[in-house]
Amino acid sequence: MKKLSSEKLPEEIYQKSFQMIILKLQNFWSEYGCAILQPYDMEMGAGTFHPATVLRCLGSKPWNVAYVQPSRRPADSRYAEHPNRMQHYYQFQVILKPSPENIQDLYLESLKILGIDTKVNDIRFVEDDWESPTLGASGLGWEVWCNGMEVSQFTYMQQIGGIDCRPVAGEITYGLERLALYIQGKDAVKDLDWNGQTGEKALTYAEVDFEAEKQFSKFNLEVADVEILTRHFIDSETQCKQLIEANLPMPAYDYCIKASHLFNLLNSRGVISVTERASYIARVRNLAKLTCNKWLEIEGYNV
Amino acid sequence: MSELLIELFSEEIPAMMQSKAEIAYLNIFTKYFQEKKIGFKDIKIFVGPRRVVIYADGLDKEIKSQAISIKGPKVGSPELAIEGFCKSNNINQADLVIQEVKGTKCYFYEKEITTQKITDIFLKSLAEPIMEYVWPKSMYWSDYKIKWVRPLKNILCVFDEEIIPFKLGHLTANNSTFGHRFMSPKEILVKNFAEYKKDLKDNFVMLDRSDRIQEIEDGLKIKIDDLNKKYKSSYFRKDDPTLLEEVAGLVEWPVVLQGRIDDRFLTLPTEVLVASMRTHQKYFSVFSNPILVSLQGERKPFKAQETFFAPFFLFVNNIKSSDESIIVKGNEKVLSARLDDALYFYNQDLKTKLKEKSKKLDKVVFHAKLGSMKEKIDRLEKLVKFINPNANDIIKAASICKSDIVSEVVGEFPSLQGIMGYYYAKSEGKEESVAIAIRDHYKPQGPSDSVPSETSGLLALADKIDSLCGLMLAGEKPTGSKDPYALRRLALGIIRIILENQWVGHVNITKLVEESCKLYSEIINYSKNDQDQIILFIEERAKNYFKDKFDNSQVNASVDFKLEPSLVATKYKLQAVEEFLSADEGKDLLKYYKRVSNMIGSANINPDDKIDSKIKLLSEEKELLKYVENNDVENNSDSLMHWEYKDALKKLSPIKVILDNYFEKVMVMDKDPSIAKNRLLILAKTKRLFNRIVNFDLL
Repeated sequence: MKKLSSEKLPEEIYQKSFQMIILKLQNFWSEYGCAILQPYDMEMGAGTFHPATVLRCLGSKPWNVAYVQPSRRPADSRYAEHPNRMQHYYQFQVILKPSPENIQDLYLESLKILGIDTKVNDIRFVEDDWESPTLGASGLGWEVWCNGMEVSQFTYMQQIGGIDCRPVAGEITYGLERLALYIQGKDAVKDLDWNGQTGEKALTYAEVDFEAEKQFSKFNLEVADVEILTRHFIDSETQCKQLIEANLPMPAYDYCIKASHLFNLLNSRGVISVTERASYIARVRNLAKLTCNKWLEIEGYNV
Repeated sequence: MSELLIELFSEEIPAMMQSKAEIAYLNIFTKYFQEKKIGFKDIKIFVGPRRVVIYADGLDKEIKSQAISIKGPKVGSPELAIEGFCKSNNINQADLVIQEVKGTKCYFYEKEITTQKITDIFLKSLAEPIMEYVWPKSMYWSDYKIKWVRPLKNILCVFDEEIIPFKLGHLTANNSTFGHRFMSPKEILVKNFAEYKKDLKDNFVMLDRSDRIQEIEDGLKIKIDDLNKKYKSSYFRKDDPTLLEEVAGLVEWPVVLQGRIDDRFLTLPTEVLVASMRTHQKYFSVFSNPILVSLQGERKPFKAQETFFAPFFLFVNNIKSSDESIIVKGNEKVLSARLDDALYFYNQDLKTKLKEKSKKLDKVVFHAKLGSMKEKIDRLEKLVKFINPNANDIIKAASICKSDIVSEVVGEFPSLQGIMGYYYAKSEGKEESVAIAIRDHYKPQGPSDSVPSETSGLLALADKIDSLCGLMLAGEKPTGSKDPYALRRLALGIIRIILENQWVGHVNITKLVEESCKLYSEIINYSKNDQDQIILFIEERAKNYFKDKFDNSQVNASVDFKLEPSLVATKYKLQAVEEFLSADEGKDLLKYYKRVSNMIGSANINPDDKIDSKIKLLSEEKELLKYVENNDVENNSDSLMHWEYKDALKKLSPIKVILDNYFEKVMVMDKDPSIAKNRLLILAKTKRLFNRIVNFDLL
């Protein structure tokens, strides 16, 4: 006789762990034919900022990649006290250029791999047009809801750095924590099972990341030195422009990312007024535009 | 009679774009059939989450052969013109015939149009009306060349069960469609509309938006009835057609479910709860009326103004799930996280007082040329004081009325500005009147919104006058259909606040505008003319407002802020004029006025000139002059009340007899020019007497 038990088997726990979600997504998109890239080694607000998206979505060459990107949003600092808002979190980003005919079906297939049955759960594509004023980028698409929770962002990239994208890339961004909360049936990110182990080896999300979350929250909201940040912003801007002059768009782009993050920090310190804010955004956007144009030029396109 | 069915199958179309597209496509296809001279009985358009459907009924099968004559140049026109006409019609000069048009001989081309099959026309041209509609936002995808609201996946087009394989971009029309994305994603082959509709339904797609809305409304009602049965309560839902439409645009197969809200969130203001649920999650809120339990244990709904927010929410999903509890639990969890956020923000906001928050307003721009919101509230305080120096509560409210803009909750939900100010004011112990003035000072937000009360209306009025004057001085006057700062709405708000509160004495539009402009004098240069433009702008809007209630020409004749700067008095005037002219006596008097006016004609006479005392007057003349001089008062700066306007008009009556005698005896255009001039002057003075009250020329 089968033993009726509500106790979860270790295998099931293992399969639903945070890292397993990432591994499954990597496998899925690898099998589809994507190159699995690694996170970019700089602070950025979202996976979109990775040069594998910003630069490679431009131009006509096909480009199919997937990668995890740790992302930082200083203004979302909550000292690890909020159930799901954090200044540091993880995105899983997929870029398919040109966007294939069955991109939505592929995405839904990937949800099934993660154990989300689309015949039982309420999955919805809700209009959400994406725009990044700092990147001069925009796209049309949806946020994808699973039982009312936004679990992914789905975008057809129309413009980056003020340049029209042709062909158009489809961008899928999975909010990994949100997905994991749902898959593991947890209420707060801190309780997420990271590695699916029991006993000594078991690790939760909080054990891995929350000390950093507390410290960085304090840094972002209270400690970060405004003068230093302001200076570094100017330095990054100068360096970026010099690198563009030197026909080196990729290092130039690094400094554009830096400038963007420094602006985010200044913003979270609450020292930027509305008008200043607009001017900071315009300055970063200018760097992004210069970089993107230079990138296309070096790649041999007529800009 | 034939039918045409087109389905444009696409990825999810934004919910709030759907009904607009329905209206637009109806117009576009009506025009298309008319232009192609295709007879039709009916066109129906359905736009839902994944499809745009055009269905036309009672169509011609073919357009019968016919002759059209096309007019060319006159006979004898230059050869080049005749040649050009032939070329443009692809004919030779030998094909031309000559006909007379109004006595002129012209060349004509009698064009034969052969019978055309509708299917041929459709095949060639159906792509045009489809692409004619420009979506509010559209996009490219993959490496295709066409633009659409979201990727277009397939086109179905059948005319009398026959495929019309027209091309649109990379797509060619066929006869397939697809069922519900999750419940029945299979391909379905379609013959005609009746089957199409049925097949869709069998495959979990409700085509018609009104069916979906009905289904949702029914579902909501059932859930509320269930709650009432279960809790013996009187729960209800408030009407929200916008949310209903949006939700109906998000689902092809609506299923209503109900979730619970954790009690700890009920400490949040109702508006915050509703906004969190509605804006982000598109949930419906549930309310309850207090219930009275009688001694016998009988429960009766208690009729009271106050309603309570109930700890439930209703939501619509797009699937008939085998396990609804998973969906409910999921949604409850999401809502908890949202409300946790709101609670966090709200508690953060409660930590600082409104006065302290107002300091941050110097960083919030009101308008690039008009400085910050801090400067705005400083002006508002002065303006409220100007209108009513004794309104201490409202002056106090003015200094903190914009503070909630920098609060976290308003940052998250901009539509709650004012409302949050109310709650924050209450929580720091401010008087109810102060809190209400803050809450209501954005009202009325549109023609259907209510006007704030007498007390709090003062702040609303000051805020609107300040915005209107500032933005007009900054050059933001609306042009045509462009009114980005909604100045017309502001002006209408000003008019309604004054009129609906019956503010008589202390609101003089001219002085109010002058004062408001003066408060801007340090930051912006302006002329007297700029100021007059603002007054005229409000006057124009006032005329528009009154034209709903009064006769157009009476409005044009009566609304004049230079003569009568009070809106309430202007309304009295209009009532008096309407009454006056509805009676024979008034109509009669108008005739006398016209006669006087016609006699003066275009003669340029200044009624202020003095009568030439050397000229002897006839007794009838003397009588008229006496009457005019006795009754003509210098422009009275005080506004008149209703009965005073009535009186003023009534007082004109005796003039009829006087004028009768005058016209009988007096020949105005005397041979002696100085006498004629003198007589005209008396008439001009008479005319002015009439126009002191209302512009009789426009009646």
